[in-house]
Amino acid sequence: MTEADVRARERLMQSLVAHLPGLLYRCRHDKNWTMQFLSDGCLKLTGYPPEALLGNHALSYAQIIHPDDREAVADQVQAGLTRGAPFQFEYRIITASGQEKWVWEHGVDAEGDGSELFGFVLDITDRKHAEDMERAARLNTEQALEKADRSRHALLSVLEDERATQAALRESETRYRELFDNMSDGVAVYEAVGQGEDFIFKDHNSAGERIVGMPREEVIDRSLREVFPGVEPMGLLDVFRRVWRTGEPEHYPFNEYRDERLRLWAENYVFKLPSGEVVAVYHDATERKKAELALRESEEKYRLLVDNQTDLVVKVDTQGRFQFVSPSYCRLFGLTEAELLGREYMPLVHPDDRASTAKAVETLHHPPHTAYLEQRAATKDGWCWLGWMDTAILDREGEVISIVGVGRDITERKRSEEALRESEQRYRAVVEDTPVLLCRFLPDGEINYANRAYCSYFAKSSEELTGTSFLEWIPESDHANVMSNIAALTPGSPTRSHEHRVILPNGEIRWQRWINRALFDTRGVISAYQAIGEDITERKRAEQEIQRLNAELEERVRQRTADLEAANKELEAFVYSVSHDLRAPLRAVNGFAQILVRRHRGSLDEEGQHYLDNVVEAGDHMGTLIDDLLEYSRTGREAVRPRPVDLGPIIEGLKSTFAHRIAETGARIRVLKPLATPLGDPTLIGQILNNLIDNALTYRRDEEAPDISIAAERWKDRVVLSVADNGIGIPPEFHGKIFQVFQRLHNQEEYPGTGIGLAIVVKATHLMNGEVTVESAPGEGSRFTVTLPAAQAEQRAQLGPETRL
Amino acid sequence: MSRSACILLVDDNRLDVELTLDAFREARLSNSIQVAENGQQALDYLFGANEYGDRARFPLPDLILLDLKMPGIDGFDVLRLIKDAPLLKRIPIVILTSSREEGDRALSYDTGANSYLVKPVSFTGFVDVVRRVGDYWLTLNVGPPSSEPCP
Repeated sequence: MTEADVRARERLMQSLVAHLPGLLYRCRHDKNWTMQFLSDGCLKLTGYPPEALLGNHALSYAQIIHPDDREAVADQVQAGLTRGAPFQFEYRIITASGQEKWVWEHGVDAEGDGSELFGFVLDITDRKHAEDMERAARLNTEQALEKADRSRHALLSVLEDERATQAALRESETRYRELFDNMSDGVAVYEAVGQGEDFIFKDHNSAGERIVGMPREEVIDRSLREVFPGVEPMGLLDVFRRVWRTGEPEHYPFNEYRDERLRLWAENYVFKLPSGEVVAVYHDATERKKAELALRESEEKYRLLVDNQTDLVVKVDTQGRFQFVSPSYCRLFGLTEAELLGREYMPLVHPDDRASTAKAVETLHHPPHTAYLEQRAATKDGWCWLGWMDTAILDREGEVISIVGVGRDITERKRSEEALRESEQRYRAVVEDTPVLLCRFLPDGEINYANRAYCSYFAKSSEELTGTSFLEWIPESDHANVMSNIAALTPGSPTRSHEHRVILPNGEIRWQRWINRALFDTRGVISAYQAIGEDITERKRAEQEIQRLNAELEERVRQRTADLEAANKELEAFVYSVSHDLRAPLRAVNGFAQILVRRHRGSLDEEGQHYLDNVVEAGDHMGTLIDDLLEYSRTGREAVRPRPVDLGPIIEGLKSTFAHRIAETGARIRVLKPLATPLGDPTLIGQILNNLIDNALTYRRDEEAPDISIAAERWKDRVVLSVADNGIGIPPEFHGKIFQVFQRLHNQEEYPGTGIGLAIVVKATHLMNGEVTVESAPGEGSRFTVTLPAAQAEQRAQLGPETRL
Repeated sequence: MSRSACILLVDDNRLDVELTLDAFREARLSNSIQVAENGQQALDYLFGANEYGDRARFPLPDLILLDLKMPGIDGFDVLRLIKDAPLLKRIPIVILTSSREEGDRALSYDTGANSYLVKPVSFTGFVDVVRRVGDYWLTLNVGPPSSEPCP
């Protein structure tokens, strides 16, 4: 290398340093960070030209540092020096324009004694501000910068040496050369062709050789467009042309370079040297790009987590190994993230569900690249049903690179589904096997379901019946009735039953009873009907038979009543004839016998007189007998109209009727007052009392005058009317007999009577819904008790006040 | 009493007729008593038919004693026809019968009977009834105006 070459290279290197992004410095380790060297990048970074800071000429570097960060910066530097290691940290500076910038600084102890430092300051404001990029940038940039740092460290040493000695150009060139070559960033120097149509490689550092994978010799003096045809579509060639034309440096951010041989992500910094050459400092950002993509994915998965806090989120690679598991997933399976990551998920899946899971995952390789699957998985609580929505993540080629699944525990739903299915099967079995006819039909009558019983009833298969109208089975005359019954169903009254006839395929007519239920859709419109039916032919027949029997019975009762009425009429006619035809001859017998007694008794001898007396006596008795019989038959032939009966006047009337016999026997009649008021018929009650008093006067003891007491007492809603005497009494064995017609206990000579009196009492009492009882024993008198309904207060009020004693 | 009143007794029972006539005698009523032995004969008498055409011999009665139960034309028929006849309808009619039947009583009064008496079974009772009938209807009662006096 000639002297001139060396100088040229040195200028190039100086120029490179001057144009590198960021700021190179050397300073004293004091509180002002007194600057001894600053690269031209100082102006761009801080807004101050290097001269302003060198030797604290206008202001110190310490003054540029954000007041809040000054102490931290000092601490960090001291910490690094104490460790004997390079220091690196972030802090804020205030630029000449007052703007706040985040910078990253990396430095070392320049002399090894802590007196001087040199280092590199880079603007990181953009990445600080771009929150999304921060982590990626840190990851990526740290790596990149760590690598770069080693080179830069070397660079700084070289610069220091060069600046310190200022002696050996060659050495200097060598060091620049080393700097050039040891930079982790690729650096290429070009010479423009013509008006910038193309650029010729003049130099390329070793980092560049590594990045593009070509030795320096293969590119030097060759055309950029020829060696790297991808620069034009990438847009970088235009940048070169602009920089060459204008001299303004440009940053060309991440872009992908592609050609047949090479594919990489690169960031370029392009500037023009005073000599007219164009320099591209480029950084292989493929790694960084990957990190960025990873970050985006991780952001995505975190977003999923946020969106579906309770949901399970996993990401698996194409081999089915976990790349990500959400905390909810870990909790469910009782495993830590560390235990899960890298493991295959399939062993967690129930053996019976593995095939279906694999099949679902397989479909993810095809659009729409999503699949839903359900599987049982071995959670810490045992087998759980999980439902997964899986989505494939594709690379740029459309190849699946991983699968993200969002899942949910659906065990409960599965259980209820299972229960529902069991219940459905049970109900189906019941519905199918029940002997009851069941069907569903549409509003127009079309059957869309019929159970087994229904099918066999009509001797048709389910297929034959489905789609037909049930009206086909019903006689035309019943259609209107059936349809109007169905039409009457509303949401308020959705069920109704009706009966109608059906004609079976064999022509038999039978009766059915149906309960229809209308099923409504959400708008309240009838969507279908559900019907439950039974054959009621037998019942109908029984009903008709009962109706027929009832009619027959009614007819018979009517006939019998008519017969009875006729018999009654006959009886009345008989009584009439008795009253007339028997009495007339009797009257003649009696009448003429009496005429004989009155006018001709004297002309008869004693025997004739005796016989004549016998005729008269028998005639009288027969007259009484006939009168009593007529009274008995007449009793109750008139309708009984119950009303309150004042007993007082009736008893008084009877006393005067019997006055003669009372006087004759010396009888005493006591009326125990007050007398309650029964509900009955005055005539019937008069007949009752008449007969009872008559008996009391008749059946007396010879030696004793009759003592008769009459009472009427209220007992609940009844009136107990009693007539008691001190007469001969009745033996208990005859108590039942005495109330029958013509039953007598004594002969006519002992006690005259017809045996009809008590029968009249019983008949009259029954006609008023009353009861008669007797208490009596021979020699102890008798007490006849007649129980009648009592008149209520308001009914009694109809009587005059003087009758209520 | 300027003249003895005329009574028509209508009864098909010969014994009852005899008893009645005897009772009239016993009661010392000196009326002229005509007897019709059945319904048809009563009508013939009253309307002057057949042998009853001579009103001098068979005058219209001042009182009719009428039995109900008779064969053929019965007492009700006779009663109805008398009340339908303008010349006869005012003649007082006393039903004298063995029947106490409610239906008989109702129909009798409804058809226009003036009184209803039940024949007593005993002769003394019968005499009593006949005396009272005579006293009331022939002495006490002021009869309707009559166009044809009894002889």
